[in-house]
Amino acid sequence: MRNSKLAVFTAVLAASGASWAMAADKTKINFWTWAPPAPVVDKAVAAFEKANPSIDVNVTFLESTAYQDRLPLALSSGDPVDVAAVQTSSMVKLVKDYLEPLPELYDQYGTAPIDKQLAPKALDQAKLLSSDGKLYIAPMGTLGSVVAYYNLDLMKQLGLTVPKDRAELAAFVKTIKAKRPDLVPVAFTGANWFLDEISDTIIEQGAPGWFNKLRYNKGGKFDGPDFKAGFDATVGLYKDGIFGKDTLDLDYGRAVELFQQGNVVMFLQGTWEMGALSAPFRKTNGLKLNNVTVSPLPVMVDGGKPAIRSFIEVGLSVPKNSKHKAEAMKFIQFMTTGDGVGQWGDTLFVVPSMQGYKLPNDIFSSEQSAKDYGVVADLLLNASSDRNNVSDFSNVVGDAIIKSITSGTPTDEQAKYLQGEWDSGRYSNAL
Amino acid sequence: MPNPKSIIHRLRPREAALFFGPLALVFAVYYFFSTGFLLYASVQRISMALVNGRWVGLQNFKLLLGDPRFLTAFVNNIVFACVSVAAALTVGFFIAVTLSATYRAKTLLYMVFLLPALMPLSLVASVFRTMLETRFGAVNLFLNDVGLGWMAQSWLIDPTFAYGVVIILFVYIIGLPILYYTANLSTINTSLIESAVIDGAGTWRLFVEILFPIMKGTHRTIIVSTLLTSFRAFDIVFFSTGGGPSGATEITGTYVYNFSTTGTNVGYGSAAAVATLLVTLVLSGLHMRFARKDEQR
Repeated sequence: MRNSKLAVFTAVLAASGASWAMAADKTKINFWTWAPPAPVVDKAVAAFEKANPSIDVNVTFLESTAYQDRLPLALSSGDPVDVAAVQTSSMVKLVKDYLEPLPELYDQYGTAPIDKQLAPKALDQAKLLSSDGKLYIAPMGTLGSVVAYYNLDLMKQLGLTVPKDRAELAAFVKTIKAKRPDLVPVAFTGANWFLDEISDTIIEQGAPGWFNKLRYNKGGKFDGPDFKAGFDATVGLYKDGIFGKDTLDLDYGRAVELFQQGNVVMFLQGTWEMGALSAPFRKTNGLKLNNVTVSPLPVMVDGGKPAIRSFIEVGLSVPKNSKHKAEAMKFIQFMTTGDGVGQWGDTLFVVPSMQGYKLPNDIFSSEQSAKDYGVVADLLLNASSDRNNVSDFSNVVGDAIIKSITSGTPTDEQAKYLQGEWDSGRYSNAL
Repeated sequence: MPNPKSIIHRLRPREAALFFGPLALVFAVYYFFSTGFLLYASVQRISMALVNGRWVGLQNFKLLLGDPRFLTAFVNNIVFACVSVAAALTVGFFIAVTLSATYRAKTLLYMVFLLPALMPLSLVASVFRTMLETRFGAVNLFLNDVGLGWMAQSWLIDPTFAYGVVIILFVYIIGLPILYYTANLSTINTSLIESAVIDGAGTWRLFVEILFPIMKGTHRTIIVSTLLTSFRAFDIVFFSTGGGPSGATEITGTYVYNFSTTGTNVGYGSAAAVATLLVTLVLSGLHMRFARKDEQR
């Protein structure tokens, strides 16, 4: 009896010791991020840990606005962060002094150089953000705006096809108003920043590359013919009743809700909403819409072409003070060019930066959706301008558009005002 | 036997310091340090990470004073404050006096008027926003259903109507002034009112010439607290109109918010916050001055 108790005790001790030894062999890395959604991140991390049993990933997930404050402070305080997702805005410039340049890390720990793994345009945009021309982030993917989403079931009932230009859109709206006045023909958030996005997209249709010229101080201006034409076209859509003024008070969530409830035929937003085309995403998130497609915004200016502004999003980086750079690089490669892409790729929130990546076709519910996605993805990767927004100034432009719609302020007056504000030094373009 | 001193008066300085020290330290960190940092940021060109700032002196303040949007936001603050004060001194006073004289359903009526002020303002404003949506809002749907569709408006899109909506929201939360008046009314010597009634004073004279002048101290408290509250009423505006359309209903709070969260020019946003703080300090100083004068009298 005594011997059997001793044997059991010894066995338990041995098992504990073995598991402690295993735990001691495991490397733990700390991953900070705000995107993609937390359940998607958890799924990807679980897949990584399964493929790499000797590495544990501890995730710190924060909401976007809180992340903008916390990450720079964590890095400057020397907190133990091994992989940091960096927002592809001014955050890169803020934190680059705390990050390792990636090409060297890829050469040291990667399976291939970074420029052989990720799309060249994505890497160029990443270098642009650091202001010293060095590459500190490996972007997960690219997103952009504005695109149009369509409820294909409603369109089929009404005998409609996807409009390609302003005239077709006007007819599209007229048909819906006549046959189904209970439906909203075109809905989107009336928030000022989004009206600026629409205006910028329309300007790019007529003057590709305008936004880059403005943003990178290469001669683009508000007080010029290209901007005025796009501004006029945007306001004109409301004047002619193609866009309803009664949708100007919809906020982001409300517009999404109306589309998902089947009250809206055409919904405008950025490509980050493309999850609606993905059957797995719809199932995971309980979306009732079954048949959705996407297309570039109809061309609203004479002689124009479909356009989009796009930019990289979610750039993964390795802080200088990380003690597990090899493991961190393994995780970054997994998430950007490895099996991890398959874990988050079906959310469609970005088009992956991985060279030669092809989405499995079975995530789309129709051939049309799959084909239309391909068109938009191609446009994203070959966009005429970067969606490298000056967020605080976006609001100002949007407000100017709203003022012209509601109070009839002339375009010339708004263009002059906006040029003055842009040059004032008040906004972050001056930083 | 002389009255024993209260515990506070029996404390020696060292013991008092031990009791209040921790609280004072927390106060110092959260108020003095944060105010100091705000002042520091306001003279910098600095981003949201609050590191690597560049000294720009008073440039942010110069830019601020040259921005018509900030001046509009400031004027809006004053207008909304004046409306709130006017509503509190008239409607709030009238309701408080009426309720204090009412016997039936008194508690229920108090609840009806106080509840909006006690609920989270963000919730009240969000509900108003949803109800006032042009196409799907409950107000316009109701008006259409009862044959008054001609009265349905773009409440949040038209600048004039949006302004009116914000004013109504500010008036809607006069529960606290009603509380102040009710508390003061309970201390008034009722024989004064009885004498007035015996002498033939009507309701109007009672309200305007007897009760209203007696409550001068409460009026002043309400004026200053309502003015200061209006400068902090960020949630009312943000969750209802968002400061729109096109900045028509913007107040200094939403203006500061835009620069502190959407852009990286946090130094400029801090300058706006400092300017607002200075104005509210002046108002508070005035209040303290008048309060001291009354005490001396």
